[in-house]
Amino acid sequence: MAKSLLKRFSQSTVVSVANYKSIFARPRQHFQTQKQSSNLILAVKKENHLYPGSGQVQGFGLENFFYNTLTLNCVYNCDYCYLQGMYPSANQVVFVNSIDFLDAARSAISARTNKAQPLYLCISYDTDLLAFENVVPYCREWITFASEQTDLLLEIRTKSASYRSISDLPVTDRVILAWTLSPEIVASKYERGAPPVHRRLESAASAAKKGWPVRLCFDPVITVPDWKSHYQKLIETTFDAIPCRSVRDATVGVFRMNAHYLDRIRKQRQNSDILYSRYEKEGENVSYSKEQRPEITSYIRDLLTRHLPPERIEVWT
Amino acid sequence: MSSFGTYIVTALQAEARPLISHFGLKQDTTCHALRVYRSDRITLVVSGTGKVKSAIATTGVLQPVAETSRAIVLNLGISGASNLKGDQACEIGDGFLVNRLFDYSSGRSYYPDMLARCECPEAMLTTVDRPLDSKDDISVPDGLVDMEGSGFFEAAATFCGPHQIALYKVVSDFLQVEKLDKEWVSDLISAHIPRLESICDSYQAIVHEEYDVLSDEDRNLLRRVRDNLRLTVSQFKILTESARFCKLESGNPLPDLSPYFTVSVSGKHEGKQHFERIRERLLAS
Repeated sequence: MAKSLLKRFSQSTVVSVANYKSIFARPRQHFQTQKQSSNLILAVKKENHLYPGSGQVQGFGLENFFYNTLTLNCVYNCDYCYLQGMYPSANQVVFVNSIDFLDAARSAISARTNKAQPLYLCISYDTDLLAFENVVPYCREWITFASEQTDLLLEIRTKSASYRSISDLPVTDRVILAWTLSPEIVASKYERGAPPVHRRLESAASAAKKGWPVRLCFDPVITVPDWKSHYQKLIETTFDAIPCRSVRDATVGVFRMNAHYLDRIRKQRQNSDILYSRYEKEGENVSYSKEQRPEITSYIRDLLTRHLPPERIEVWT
Repeated sequence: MSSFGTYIVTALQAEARPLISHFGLKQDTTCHALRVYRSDRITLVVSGTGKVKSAIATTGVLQPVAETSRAIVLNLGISGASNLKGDQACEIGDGFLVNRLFDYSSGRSYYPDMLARCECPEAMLTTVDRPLDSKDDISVPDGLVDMEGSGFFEAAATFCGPHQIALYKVVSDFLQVEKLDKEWVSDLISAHIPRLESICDSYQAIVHEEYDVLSDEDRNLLRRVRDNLRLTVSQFKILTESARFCKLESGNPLPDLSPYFTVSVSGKHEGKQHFERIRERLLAS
């Protein structure tokens, strides 16, 4: 992997680094400044090739829920993204020792606590792997891996329109391709660098047509002015593009973020209204108020139940 | 060259001389411990040779600066070169931006951010504690060699982010210890002033990228309110955040706060009452 990346970027200046953290974790880095011209860091991850799933993400009742971090950071630059507060650097880290991640997944499959369920593994959790597939073909590698495992269910979540880069692979029901969808007004204002929603839908529709299990993620729901009609239109457009029988399931979640991350982001940038809304703090997280959250999710769920049975809709409140 | 808050550190007076002349810098006679030259936007300090002196001088000029987030700090000077090959093969007089620093004695490495868009070759720099001669039985990584870089960087990084720090080195020798002619050193540096200006412009553009909805004018208005109402540091912070909420939520300019520049305030209590009124107004916008 490292060799092929060095060959691909043969015109770039290469700086050798003993440990990726010595550049990634430097103090006083400015996330948004680096985002304007981020560097690619090739690294080896020596430990933690698998993490238990967090309560911030829907697990669809699957108990053996894990995620991994094959890369750090994301090619997109969404205003609401918690990575701005979680990582000290916007540089894109690619861990090149994929074999260790695959071994960890194999071990976890064997050691999973509930043997009646597969290991549910999100590989595009703190990043967008499919958007980066033309640089690092990890989706391809992991889909191939999943095809060979009997007790593994992968989720690859994306905002990209890059289905084409894996469209030649045989379909497997062990991989869910999940598209995050937002109304155009939200996407154009807050999801910098990500493709417009109609292109994501085209990509998702192509995958669904070929038979891939497709998940639709309405997450984070953001209450822009007139949000109800924007989300209604989005859901109508979505199911016009993708027949409901081709959709495996859908997830709904309101905007939420670790309060500490939000504080860190606000120290570096004060130019997005989404970072300055009147959120309520509950535990370690900030989100819309206790009263607003069920109203938002109920509304979206009701729209979705016109197309999907309730058991195929997972809601985070 | 637009040079808001540009801080330049050189080791030698001969390196500083062409810059002093080009930018019309004047010696700051109030500084006794350090040789400092200034214009309204550039501060240059001559540190003397060695990483400790460079760290002291860098700290000396940055410590009094109240707001360093828009400063850029540049170490400029001559350096030796060892075994630069391929694209990095060089001649005496070639200049490089440093993308990695290696402190030979501690074994530590440092990395400035290379974000500036300027056409300039890059190289690694090793900082050594004494002049290094190719005949010595010491091997250093291929690249540039100086005696200040790591000290400068450690000090600068105490005050500034890695995107604000740059090191630019002009090759003066291939590790032959000999006394260099001062005029020759000045000429070497002088030839790089146009590129140096371009580098500074590029770094300045980066640090002046705006990530705050409040404009300089807004901040000035808020400071005038603070001064007149005698607000505490904490109150001023709350006021500033409320102003951001107001602008971002409404999408409109700040409401007229000018009455609060002049309203008569007899004590802290009265100031606090005005402060609460402004805050409510901002949050209701």
